[in-house]
Amino acid sequence: MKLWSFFTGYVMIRVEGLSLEKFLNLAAEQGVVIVNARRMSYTVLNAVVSARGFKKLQSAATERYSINLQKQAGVPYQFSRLILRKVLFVGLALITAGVFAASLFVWEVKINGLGYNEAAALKEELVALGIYGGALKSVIDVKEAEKRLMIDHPDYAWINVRLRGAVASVEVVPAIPVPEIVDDTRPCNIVAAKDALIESVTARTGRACVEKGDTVREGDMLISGLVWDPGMARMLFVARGEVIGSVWYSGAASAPLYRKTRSKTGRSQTQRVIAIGADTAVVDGECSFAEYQTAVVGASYIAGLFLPVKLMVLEHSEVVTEYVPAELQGLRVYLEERAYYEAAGKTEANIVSHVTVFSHNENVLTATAYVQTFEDIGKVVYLEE
Amino acid sequence: MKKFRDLKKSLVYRFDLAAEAAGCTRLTLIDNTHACIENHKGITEYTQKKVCVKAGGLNIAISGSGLVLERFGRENVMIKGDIQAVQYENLRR
Repeated sequence: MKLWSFFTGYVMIRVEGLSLEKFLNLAAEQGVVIVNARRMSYTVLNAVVSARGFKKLQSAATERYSINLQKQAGVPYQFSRLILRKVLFVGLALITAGVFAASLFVWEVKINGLGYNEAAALKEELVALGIYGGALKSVIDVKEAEKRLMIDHPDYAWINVRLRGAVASVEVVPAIPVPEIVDDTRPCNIVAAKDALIESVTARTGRACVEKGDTVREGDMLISGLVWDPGMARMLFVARGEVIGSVWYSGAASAPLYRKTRSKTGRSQTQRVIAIGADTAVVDGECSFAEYQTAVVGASYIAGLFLPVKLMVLEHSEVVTEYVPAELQGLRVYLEERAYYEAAGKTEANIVSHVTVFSHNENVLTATAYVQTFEDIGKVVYLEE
Repeated sequence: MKKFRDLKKSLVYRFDLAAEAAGCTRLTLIDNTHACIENHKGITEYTQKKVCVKAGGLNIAISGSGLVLERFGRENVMIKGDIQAVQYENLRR
C-alpha cells in the first residue's frame, strides 16, 4: 500500500477546526482514505491523504475546517520538480541515450574452450570477420562467422558465437582427433618413429629385426613385413607387434644468479610539471640525479574540470643499483622444476626416471632436465612406399 | 426493525455465513498495538488517549496512549498505539 501511495503521490495535511471527528466521518463519506491521522490538540489534526483525496476534501470541507498542505511526496511531485530542473533532465536524457548507444557496440570478445595462445590466434581471425571490441552489433553476421570458422578449423567440433549485451562470447569445443586407421590388407613394415634404446620386442606377425639392448634411430626397421629366406618363396606380411623403447626427452630453464635491485639513498628532489592530456611540460629544472624513482605526490586541475590541464608535483628519489646474489638452493629447485615440466610436456607416456644437470655460464644458472619414458616407438610404413 | 436485524443475524449464524454480511462489526486485535474495526458506522471521539467508534448498536471505545488512526476509510478503521482497554457500550436501550 505504501509503495502504491508513493507511485500515485500523497500529501501531508494539517486540519484545523472544531469537531474533527465530523471531519473524519465526512472524509470517509467522500471515499477519501485518511492515513496516519494523529490528533495534535483539540483543534488540530495531522494526516496523510492521497493527492486526489486532498482535492475532494478541499471542495467538501469548506468554512468549518482549514486544511493546510504541509508536504507533497511521491513520484508525480518528484517528476514535476525534476521537469523544472531542465539541465538535470537534459543530462539524464543524455546519459540514457549514451548508455543505449554504447549497448549497440561490442565492447569485449570472450573466448571459452581454448588455451591462451589459441584464443589469441582466434581473436585475430574474429577481427577479420568483423567481431572485435568497438564493432557495431547490427553489422555482425553471427551465422556467417560460425560457418567460416568451422570451415577454416577442421580441428574444432563445435563453435558458437553469441552476442550477449556488449560482450561477444565465442564457445569452442575442440574435436577429438581421429585415430590413424591402419589398412589390415596391405603388407607393411614397422619402423622406429623416434630414436630409442630397445627394451622389448613382441612381433605378432612379420620378422623382428631388433632385439633388447639395440639402439635405433628414427626410420630404422623394427619388424619387417617381408620375409625372404634363401631357398624359400618371398612372403609378405602385414607386420604387427609392439616395440617398447626407452626414449629420453630434455627440457631446460635458466635464470640469473644475481638480482638487480634499486635502493633509495634518502635524497629527493621535487619537480612541478604541467600535463595537458598525455603531454607534459616541466616547470622547474630537470632532475639532477643519475638514477631516480618518481612518484606523483600532488595533482590539481587548472581551469576546472572542463579542460584536461593538470599541475602535477613529482617527487624524484635518488636510487642506486645493486646486484644481490639470488638464494642458490631455492633457485636450483625452481629451475629444476621448470626444466622438468618442459621436458615432461613433450611426451604423454609415463615417465620412469629423470635426471637434472646444472651449468653456470657467467651470471646465468641453467638447469637441463632429462626424462626417460618407456613407450611404443613403432610406426606403420606400407611396403610400396 | 430489531426483529428483522435479529432474524438476519440468526440466518447468518445458522448457515455459517460471513458475519459481516449481516452488518456485524468485526474487531481484530493484534497484541496491544493494533486494532482493526471493520464495518463501522463512524467515529464519535478521537484523541491520543481514546478512540470511540460507532458499530451498529454498539460503541467500541479503545483507550490507551499514543493512539493514531493508521487508516480510516468508509468501512474500516485501523488504530495503532499502546492499547490498554477495549470497552463495549450498548447504545440501544
